Amino acid sequence: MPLPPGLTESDFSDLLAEFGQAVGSEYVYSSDEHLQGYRDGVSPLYQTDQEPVPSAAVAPANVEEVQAVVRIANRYRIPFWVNSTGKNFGYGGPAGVVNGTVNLDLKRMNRILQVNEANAYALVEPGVSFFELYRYLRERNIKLWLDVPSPGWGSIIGNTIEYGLGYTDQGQRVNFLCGMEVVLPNGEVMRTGQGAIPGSQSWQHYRRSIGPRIDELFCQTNYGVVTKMGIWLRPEPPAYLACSIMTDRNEKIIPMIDTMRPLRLGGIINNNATLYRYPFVQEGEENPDNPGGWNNRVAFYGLEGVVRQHWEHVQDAYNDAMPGTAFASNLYTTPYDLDSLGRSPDRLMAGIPSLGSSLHKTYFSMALPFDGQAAWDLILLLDEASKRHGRRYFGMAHHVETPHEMVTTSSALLRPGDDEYNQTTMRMIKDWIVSTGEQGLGPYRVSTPCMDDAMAQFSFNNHRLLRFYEELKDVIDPNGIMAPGKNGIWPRHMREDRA
Amino acid sequence: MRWIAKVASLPILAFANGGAAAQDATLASGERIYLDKCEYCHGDGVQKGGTHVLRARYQGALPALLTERTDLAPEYISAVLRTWSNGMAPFRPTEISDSELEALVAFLTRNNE
Repeated sequence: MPLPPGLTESDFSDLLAEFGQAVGSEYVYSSDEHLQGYRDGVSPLYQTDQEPVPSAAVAPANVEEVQAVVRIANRYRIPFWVNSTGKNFGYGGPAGVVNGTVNLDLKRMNRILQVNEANAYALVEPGVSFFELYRYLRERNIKLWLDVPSPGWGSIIGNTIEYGLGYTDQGQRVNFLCGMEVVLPNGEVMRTGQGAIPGSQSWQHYRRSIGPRIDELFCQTNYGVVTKMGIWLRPEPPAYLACSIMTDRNEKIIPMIDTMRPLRLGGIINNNATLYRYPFVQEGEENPDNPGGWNNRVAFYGLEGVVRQHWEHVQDAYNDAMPGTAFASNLYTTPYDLDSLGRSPDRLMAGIPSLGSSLHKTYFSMALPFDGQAAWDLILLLDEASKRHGRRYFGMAHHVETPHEMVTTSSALLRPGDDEYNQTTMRMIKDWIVSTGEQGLGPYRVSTPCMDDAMAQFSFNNHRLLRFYEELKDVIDPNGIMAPGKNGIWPRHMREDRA
Repeated sequence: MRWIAKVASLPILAFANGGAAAQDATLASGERIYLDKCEYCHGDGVQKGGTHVLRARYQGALPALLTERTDLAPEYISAVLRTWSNGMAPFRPTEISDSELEALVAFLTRNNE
């Protein structure tokens, strides 16, 4: 394994010894065997000479140990990359951007510190996965539902601060984050919002202090290590209706989205109503002459009579706008037997974590206006870009996170061990990034090898936004140790190296 | 998960001395680790991706459920859990420690022929 940048073997040995004094030597990992799990085995760069390989990993058990590790990293001026449970696959997994980075593994910080059923929130540490909080709620018969991404093994904190999305009416989950504890890159601990008041009674109730709300400074950035986070949950609804709205042609995504828009804006549809390809065909195996249509997954939560009435209204709207639309629905009422829910979308929209999809993909996810033509134009644009690399693109998933926007999650396949195929995949994704940027469309989440390319698209007024991020970086993290290169934000000394 | 670490750290060598109680404790620990860390993907029932993949791969020639296998070599289990292989992401030592891995191997090989 490589050494951290700038360190000799002797320095590295001293570094590991200091980490060991801080967290216990059994929680400092530097063997090839132990470090395999800190590499991104589904990166297009895996096992190539461009792969950023970790030098070591260190796993603190509490906030004081995180502070100690960060202070040691400052003294040695070595880069570290943070992972909460290390499952950010498709976007980089647990691995960093810089070769020789030390991985700060927070999995041992796995305490569910508080669940308040009356006020519907939880306070968790970064090592707590969606599976673990879900089990905690079910085992104690706590009648709260959570919002989960499609793979449930990830960290609640990690996924939320990477802007991971779910499928319930709390699907843009970052908007349900309430209060953080953060270890800053100098090793100090800070609490945000009302948590800055000692003994705060409302840390997980009210999201601001006075002055700006800064929680999102720690989302998708490299300004601090989030060690606690409050997350709002939702009470178990008396009825839950999981529905499908299906069309048979790809281009019908235009009226499908435009029909949904007033329903979503008007509060009839409230969940992250996601459009999937229908019928489902594996990527790369679509019929180019008729790649299929779309299935819009919609959920209603509330009184049984109300959810039934909303669903009837939605069907009327689609029947008026799109005769021939097909519908399906499943109604669930209390007392729920959640573990018996068999259909994947029904489980996801009820916040039941699962694990199922292939890992061998790399993702490129975009923000779009809530507009059918915009969605269709994007599909055509990405298909044209894909053809330049011998591939095709027919659209993947469109998530209507809020009444005002959609995000798409587009993935491209990887083949383990097929370097030429994987390099083509990466060139194609970089082509997607540039092609969409030229049309005024930007990503909301990309994988580590594409982060600089993605940030380069936000170029208004000579990249003023990035330069602002860099100014913050230089003040908050003057030694430039935390996650250098995360989303294209580099510390000063590495910007100079790259100039 | 501290209780798992405590149970899993029981001496495996006790097996060789006929330590039936220690062996039982290790198997119980391995089963708990399996239920906690493996079952959500390799269990029986809906939305179990690992079981689905193995059922398609073996086509009935071998059980799709890991708990029904009698042919898994300890070295193979360790390799799959610690390296990128077979489409499965490795477990980091903070997820399954070396001693927990030993207990898990003992559980998954308990019926080996």
